[in-house]
Amino acid sequence: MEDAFLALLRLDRARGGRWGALRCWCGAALDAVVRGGGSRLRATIGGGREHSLDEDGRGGEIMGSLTSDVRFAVRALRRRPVFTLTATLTLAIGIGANAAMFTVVNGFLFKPLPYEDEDALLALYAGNPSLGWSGFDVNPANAWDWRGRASTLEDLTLFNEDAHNLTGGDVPEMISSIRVTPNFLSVLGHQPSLGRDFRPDELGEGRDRVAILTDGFWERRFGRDRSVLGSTLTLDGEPVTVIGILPAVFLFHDGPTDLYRPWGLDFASLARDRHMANAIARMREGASLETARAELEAIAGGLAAEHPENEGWTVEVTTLRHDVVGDLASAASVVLMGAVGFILLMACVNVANLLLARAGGRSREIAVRVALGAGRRRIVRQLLTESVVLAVLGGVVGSVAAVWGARATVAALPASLPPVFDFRMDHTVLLFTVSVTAGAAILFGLVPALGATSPRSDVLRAGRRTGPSRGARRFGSTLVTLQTAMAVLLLVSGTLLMRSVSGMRSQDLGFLPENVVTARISPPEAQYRTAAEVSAYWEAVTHQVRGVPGVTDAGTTQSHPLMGSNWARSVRIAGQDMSEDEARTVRLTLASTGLFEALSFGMVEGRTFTDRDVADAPPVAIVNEAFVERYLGPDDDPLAQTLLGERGWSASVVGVVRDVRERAVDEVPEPSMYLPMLQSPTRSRSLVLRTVGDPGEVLDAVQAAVWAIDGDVPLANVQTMTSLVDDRIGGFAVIGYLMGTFAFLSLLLGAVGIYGVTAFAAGQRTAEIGVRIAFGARREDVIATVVGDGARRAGLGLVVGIALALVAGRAMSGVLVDVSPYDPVTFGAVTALLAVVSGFGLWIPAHRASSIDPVEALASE
Amino acid sequence: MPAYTSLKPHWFHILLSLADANLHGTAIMEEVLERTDRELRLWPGKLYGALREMADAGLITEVDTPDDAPTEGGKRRFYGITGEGRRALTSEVERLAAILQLAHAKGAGPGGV
Repeated sequence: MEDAFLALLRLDRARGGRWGALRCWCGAALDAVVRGGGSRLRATIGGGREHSLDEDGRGGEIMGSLTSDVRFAVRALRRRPVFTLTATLTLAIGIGANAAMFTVVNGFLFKPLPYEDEDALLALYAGNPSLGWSGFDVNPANAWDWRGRASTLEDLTLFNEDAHNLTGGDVPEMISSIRVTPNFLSVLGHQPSLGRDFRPDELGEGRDRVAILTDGFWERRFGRDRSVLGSTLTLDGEPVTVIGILPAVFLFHDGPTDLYRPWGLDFASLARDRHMANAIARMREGASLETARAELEAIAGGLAAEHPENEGWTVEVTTLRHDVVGDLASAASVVLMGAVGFILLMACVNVANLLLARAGGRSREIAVRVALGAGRRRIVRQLLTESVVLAVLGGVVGSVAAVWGARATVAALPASLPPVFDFRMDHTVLLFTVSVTAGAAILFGLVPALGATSPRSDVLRAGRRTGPSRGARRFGSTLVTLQTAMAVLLLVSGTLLMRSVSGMRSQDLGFLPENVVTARISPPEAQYRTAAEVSAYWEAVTHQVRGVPGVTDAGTTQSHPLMGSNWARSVRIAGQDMSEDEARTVRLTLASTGLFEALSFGMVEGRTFTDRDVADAPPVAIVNEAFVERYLGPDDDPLAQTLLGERGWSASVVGVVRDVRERAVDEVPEPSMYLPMLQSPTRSRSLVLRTVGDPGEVLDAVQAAVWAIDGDVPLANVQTMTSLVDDRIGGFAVIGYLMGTFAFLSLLLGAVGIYGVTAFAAGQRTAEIGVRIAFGARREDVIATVVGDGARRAGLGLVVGIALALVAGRAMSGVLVDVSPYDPVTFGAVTALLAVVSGFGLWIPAHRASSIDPVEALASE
Repeated sequence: MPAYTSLKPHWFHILLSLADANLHGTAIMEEVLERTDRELRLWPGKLYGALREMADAGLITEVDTPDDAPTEGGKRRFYGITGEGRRALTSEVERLAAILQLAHAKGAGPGGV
């Protein structure tokens, strides 16, 4: 039998590696269970035949006794359903939390990105250390030189987001596209499932009128009609030929897009200071991140010498994986896995406790078996089998719970997460769960098993039911301390993170996101050529939209808060003695009239923009508080300042606005400047509306209003401001809620643990308590006796836990918002909560002990 | 007229592998795996359970170990097909052939509907 199994295992391992071997083991285990063959085999083995059916008698014997151990364990567990249920659920919580968390972490950290040989892919950025700038887009001309010169790179591709107005259908649509170099798909190791890839000569001005559609767009817009291949789309008024369609499995981390097109730029003629592309490079075989970085930095140094515009600029090289996964996901993975590890440990501790209690009760039975000649190893194995059966039960229930837990967690992840992560369970998760289960079984099973079988001759001589050994009792109380400490740690960390999340939500963003909706609109260049035409279009749209019932304010801007735009300009302040190159860098936002009202910006002093701030009126600007604080002296009147820029530009400051969080919810506000849209109009803008009541209700009317001006101009990225805020704090919120859930589980497990140990200890002392009561002990004394030790242990646990939580709080201080890592309220509340919960855990068994009827207690002896 | 009650598939395959040679358990398992293009796996419990039941049913019997069989790891037990087993195999093959004919007549199968 063993031979047959080993032959199968060899075959599977040769074909499927470790995964094949694992499948073989699982199959064989299932086979053993399904056949229930143990009894039949034993009948055959013991049947007195000279040769058993089995080719190896010993293997069969082990199999046979193992089967009998399992049956024995199942019978023993079935006799005590409450114990079994408690232990199974406790383990299911521990194993389930781990499996669910690992499923998510596995998706982030261990599963490969959906690109061929992703380890060889690098993300390249431009950086300028002398200016303290990092993570900038690269200059395409420079990047193309890196590609040509670097021997460590096999290839390099450039991409950037773009958007087009698609017309010619029933309704115009703004579609998202990604501009790429023709080698884009081949660098990532993909190809179109229909049609062809881009050709190298399709790069450059006028040669870019080809597109490859994504599977999602093909489905959505064309219902998977193959005849779209070779047809022409009208994008921004230009004909573009569809040459290919991507497979559904192609996912790009830069977000979902509708189609890919080559760049319509000639890189060679592009100025070297235009940073406008993202770069992904594929390393040659044998190259490493370090060698590639060293070589690229040297090449960038050379380019800085060749082209003066490159002065100070260098290249930043990181792995694509690091670029996509980011530091937050990695750090959070470690923290959350640590938290679920604690939960599992607590669950194991609880089950070990329960087993200890049982082993105590069974010490006489075990002693008899030892006296009758059963080997210690045999009994330990028997007890361990019970643990394994329990762990398997817990593992199965936990895995089912894990599927739900992982699904809920993934559903809560922010929508802006790159779509390349695969959070489905796979063999790694299975392997992890199996090892966790096995580890748990050994962890909670071994100590009680060894303790129960340690040689104790007094057990039989004593002639009465005895409790566990002193060592086991001490182990039990140590567990209580440990559990209390872990519960404090998790509760404090969880509470601090949850409070940070709510802190972020209630943080003053400088604007009111409620009831605000935004949409991106870009009037096409073909119809609106001049700045005056663009301004007229926007005037008309804003006017029309303001007339929609339910809309209270409407304005436009080139970039609304939290959109992530990075427009900046250098200005000088008139009267401040400084040279040209000492200019102040400020964030720039172009704002129409009505924008400040729509977003409810708070004005500190001065006025907002009005209809009088037109192109030929005196130029004006509004600055924010950070600008005043950073760039003006304490006695300077902000409204008396004039800002100077390049080419003779100047503007007088007419207002000071409160700081607005422009890019992230928890960012430090930067000095900013607002200019009136009418004095420097842009084509693409965000339409920002404030509504009374739910913004969703007016969307159709708003869309109709926009199309009343021009039915060929689409609205894109229609979203509410609150959803944008949620998305920006989403990742952090998920971490906070998970930690909160884990804290709750730890509280539950901690309470069960304290109750279990105390109840067990009290139960063991029933006779003693009976005698005491018979001799007139008061109830309070009895309660004090029972509670005393447990309370001391729990108190010690609280102290240890608080110390640990202080350390953990310091480590977390970087991510906490609006709450101190040593927040006395949190610490106080957690301590009080645990004291109450432990109190209950202690009081219930103590109360029961104090109501013992002495006659019954003594009679039970 | 062939019987219309079928033989258990793994019994059928075991009989088939013993049709032209006496084999031991592991060899049967490997032969079936190879012949079915790794589709049919006789897990140890299933295989030895079947061998016992088939021996009880008189379809196969234990035979002498061939002299040239390797003996490392203990003596292997070889099985051979009995007359009864051969009849069961033939009847199963006829049954399958009849089904195949029927299917062809109805246009099912490769090239059919």
